[in-house]
Amino acid sequence: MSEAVDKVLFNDALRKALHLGGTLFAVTAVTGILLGLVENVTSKAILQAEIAAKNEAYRLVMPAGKTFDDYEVKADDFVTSVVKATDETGVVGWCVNVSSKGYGGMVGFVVGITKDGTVKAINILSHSETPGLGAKSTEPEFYTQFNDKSSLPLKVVKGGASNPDEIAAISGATITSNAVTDGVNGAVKYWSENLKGAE
Amino acid sequence: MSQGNFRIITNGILAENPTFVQCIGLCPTLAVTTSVANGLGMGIAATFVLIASNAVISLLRKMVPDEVRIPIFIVVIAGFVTVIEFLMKGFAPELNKSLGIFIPLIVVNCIILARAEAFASKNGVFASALDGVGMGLGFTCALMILGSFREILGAGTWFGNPVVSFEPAMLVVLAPGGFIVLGCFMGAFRAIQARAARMKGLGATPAEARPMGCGSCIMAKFCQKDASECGEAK
Amino acid sequence: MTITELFLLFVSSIFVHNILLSRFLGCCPFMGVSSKLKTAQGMGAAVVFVIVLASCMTWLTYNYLLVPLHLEYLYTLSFILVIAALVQFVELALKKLNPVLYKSLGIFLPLITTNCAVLGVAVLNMNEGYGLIPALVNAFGSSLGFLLAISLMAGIRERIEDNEGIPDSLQGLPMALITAGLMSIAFMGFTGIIK
Repeated sequence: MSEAVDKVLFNDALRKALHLGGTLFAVTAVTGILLGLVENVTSKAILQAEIAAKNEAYRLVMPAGKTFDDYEVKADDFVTSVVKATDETGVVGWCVNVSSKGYGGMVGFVVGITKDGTVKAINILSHSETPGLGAKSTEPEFYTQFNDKSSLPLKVVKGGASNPDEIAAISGATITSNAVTDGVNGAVKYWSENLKGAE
Repeated sequence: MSQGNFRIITNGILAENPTFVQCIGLCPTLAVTTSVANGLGMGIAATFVLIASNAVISLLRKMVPDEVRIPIFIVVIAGFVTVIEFLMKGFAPELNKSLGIFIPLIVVNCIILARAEAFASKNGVFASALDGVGMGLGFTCALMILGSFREILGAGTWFGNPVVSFEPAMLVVLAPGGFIVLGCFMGAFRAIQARAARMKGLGATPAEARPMGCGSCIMAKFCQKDASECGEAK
Repeated sequence: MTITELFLLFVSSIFVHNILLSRFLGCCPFMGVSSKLKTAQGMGAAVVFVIVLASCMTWLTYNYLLVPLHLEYLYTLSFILVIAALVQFVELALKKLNPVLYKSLGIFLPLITTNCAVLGVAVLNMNEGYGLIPALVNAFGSSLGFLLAISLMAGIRERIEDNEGIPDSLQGLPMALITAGLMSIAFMGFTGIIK
């Protein structure tokens, strides 16, 4: 007798658990499938936005380049990846992606190096520096100092820069200034060792 | 629009403003109000999720077994958060980058789950969507007010355009500024409420207007424990 | 990662990038459950426990389920489900296995599913591309930072609770927020200790 009751109770509990689990599973599955569809529709736009953002960043540091292609190289302490910039006549320069240790974390930027080894320009892409101090590295006043630098290695000075190989530090953010400058020097060193003369 | 519907919307903006009155959803409020544009972007994203999840949850409310309603609500909310993440990545990549981790974290934004539980699971689709609009607008307004204040004082700009001539106080846009500015605004909001209440002859601020302990706890509605148990006696 | 790097990650996740005072994750319990030192510590301990477990589970989910299936975009959905299920499971297991511990931590567990610190740390680990060990170190450090900050906060709030100098409209939450701001200034002093 009691065995039968137990069985009924157990069946009830099982049915309930299956019902609850089933509903939850159904809702999750439907959500997952719908998301898959949305992903399908939006993935193209996401990809395009990413490519557009990247190409824009490369064009800023290497205006002469018409097309930008990934160039297979090994990474080192600073350099994470390299992009080859070309126009109709061939290679015009290299966009070197650099990651350098700043004050609040890694500072990621791209350095445009022409084929004769001049730093064309730099563009800071990501950082977690202090707003108002290290974050000023993203302002033109700081990063335009690197435009068309050919006397390397560069060094950071406090106050104003007077020589062609000097970069004026952001006041109150020497560590960030050093991080960016070291990264640029690292990129140029990498260029001379690995990219110089490559096609 | 009938008056009842209008009231549902204004309710979210003033009487039950999620940030200043209910004091929920503090994390994104503190983190993204470093500039007014970020605040606006976060507000729009959260409003979209609020409206959509409120509507869907209201549709599902009769089918959902009571025991698993919270997980199901969370799944629905997570679905819409993923959608908004796709849209932002595709069409507003800059904003997506500056809001960063706080986009996926809309899932655990207490405002959305609290409205699902308190309103959408008990009301019709249209009313629930309107509640989403009201709460979303209330949240967006609060974020924009805080964002404007912090951006103008801390960076001297508004939507990126220089507006002041004095040297900006950087601390305001840094982490401590977030806490202090929100604290001062909340205090001011209460002082105004208290004054309004006094003028109407209602005496001191009503207790509900100063949520503390379980009142400010997001899970108060789900947590069956007695308030005194978590040592937060009212 | 070398041992030194792991140690630096650990220290920086506690102090430099304190999850509450610099990353703004988990502010709701930070404000809501910090008026008594004892409850704050209980909440903090429960958070340490859940964040470390959840980071491990979400890391495994992401790297062994979502990545092989090319479903990385479902991370928000799967992480929150994993966390919710985990919290339920921990609550049941704790009730059965260790009633004493359940009594002190159990009441906080339902609150933790929607604590953005848990999901936040899981997403941070994913974004940074940490391996399992660094992810766990980061999770442990971040949650210890939570415990530290919420305990300090509760200690301060117990002392200022009956201070009549505080204007009426600032009592409670606004004052707690301003206190948190001052603590955050103090924690800013840690920035830059790690080169």
